[in-house]
Amino acid sequence: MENRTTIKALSGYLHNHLKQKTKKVAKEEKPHELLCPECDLLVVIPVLIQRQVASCPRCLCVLEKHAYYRVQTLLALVVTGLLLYIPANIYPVLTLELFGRQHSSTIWGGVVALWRSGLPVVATLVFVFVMLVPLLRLLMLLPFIWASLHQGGTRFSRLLFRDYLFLCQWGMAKIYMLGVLISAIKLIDMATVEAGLGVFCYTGLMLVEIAISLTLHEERLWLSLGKSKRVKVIEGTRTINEWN
Amino acid sequence: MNGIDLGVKLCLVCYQICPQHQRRCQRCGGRVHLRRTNSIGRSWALTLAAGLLYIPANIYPMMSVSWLGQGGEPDTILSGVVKLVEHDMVFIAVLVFVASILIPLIKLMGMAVLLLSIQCGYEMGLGIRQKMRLYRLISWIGRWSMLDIFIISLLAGLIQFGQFGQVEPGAGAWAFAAVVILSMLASSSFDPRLLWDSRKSL
Repeated sequence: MENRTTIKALSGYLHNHLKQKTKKVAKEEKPHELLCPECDLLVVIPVLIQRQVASCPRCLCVLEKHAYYRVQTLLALVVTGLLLYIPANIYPVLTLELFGRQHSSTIWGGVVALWRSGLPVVATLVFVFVMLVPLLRLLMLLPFIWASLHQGGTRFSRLLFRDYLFLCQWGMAKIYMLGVLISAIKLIDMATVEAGLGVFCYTGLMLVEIAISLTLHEERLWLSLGKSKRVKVIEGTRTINEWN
Repeated sequence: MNGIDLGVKLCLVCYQICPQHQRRCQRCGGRVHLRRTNSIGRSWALTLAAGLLYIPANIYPMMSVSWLGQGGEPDTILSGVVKLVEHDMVFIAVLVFVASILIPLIKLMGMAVLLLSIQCGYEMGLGIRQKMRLYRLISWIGRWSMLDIFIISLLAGLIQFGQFGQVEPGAGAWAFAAVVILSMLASSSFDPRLLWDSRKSL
């Protein structure tokens, strides 16, 4: 009896705690200014509603997309991703059977095979792009989520978020999955091929990455980390933005 | 209404507008440059290096597959594609051809076109919006050429049946990976705002 009430009280406390924190953090969105990163045009981006995409009027570069930003969703996705990462690397990706002999390989197995064949550089590249970058992308969001829930960011979480944005370009999970598919098709008429649990977990990880990129709204993240400043822009004698 | 005329510049990490005289971004702490540092020089260097490495990537073998006593000859990219066609796997052959031969060529030639159009001022037969589309295409397809490398890694890890089957990656894989990485770096060090700058000065 006592345990149940304790658990109830605890979960109620946590619930209120999280709700309280996010209420304060959810700053209202305002239209904000941006320089187009591809053609250097000054644009003002309005508040976007669902399914709207803001793109530059001159060069059609996509500037911002609507994102369902909530810290709890992000936290849930990161935890799921981390939980999927471990079996994705432990369990084999593909299993080959020939004359009763079985051989299966994990992602790490492929890396080791490349290393042993005298291509250490390529092995390192595959390791970095397929094993390291997805893990770092997940881990790097954690201090940021912590800072977001506890009001304002430290310099450390700002640095990490910068590196996170850099890493997003260098993750190759989807391409690896396509590679697994093509290898499986290639091997079908040579021997019996079986997809291992690793493939499904890695696919799940890939879906989590996509979901995170849909949830993450960079501009609001930077705002909630604090230290944003509006710059006064003057053309000739006319002030383009006035911040009172 | 360009940022360069208005005295502001963009921090490429956090997209915060900063005044031009400020060296560090207010919001994220990173160095802010008006245009990417030495963009044309670096892009040319990386593109030419990737182009030079493309030759050994096609001459040296990518991998040699020996299966049930047959095979064992090393395969370059092209001969691998031909073998796939012979084995009636035309779709995969087309995919590998596109990812390993067509895409790197598009990237290298596309980067050369963009860079030459800034330096010589010659339009190269493409309007500026088409050049932007070319740039976005190059950035997006850049990493898909790693497909072949991943396939080799998987096959090498899987087919280890001793005398029955063996896969050995070759030196061509190294050169090819270098081509992919260098061309990705080339497209990320190219600043498309230079295209708009040079258009204005005409």
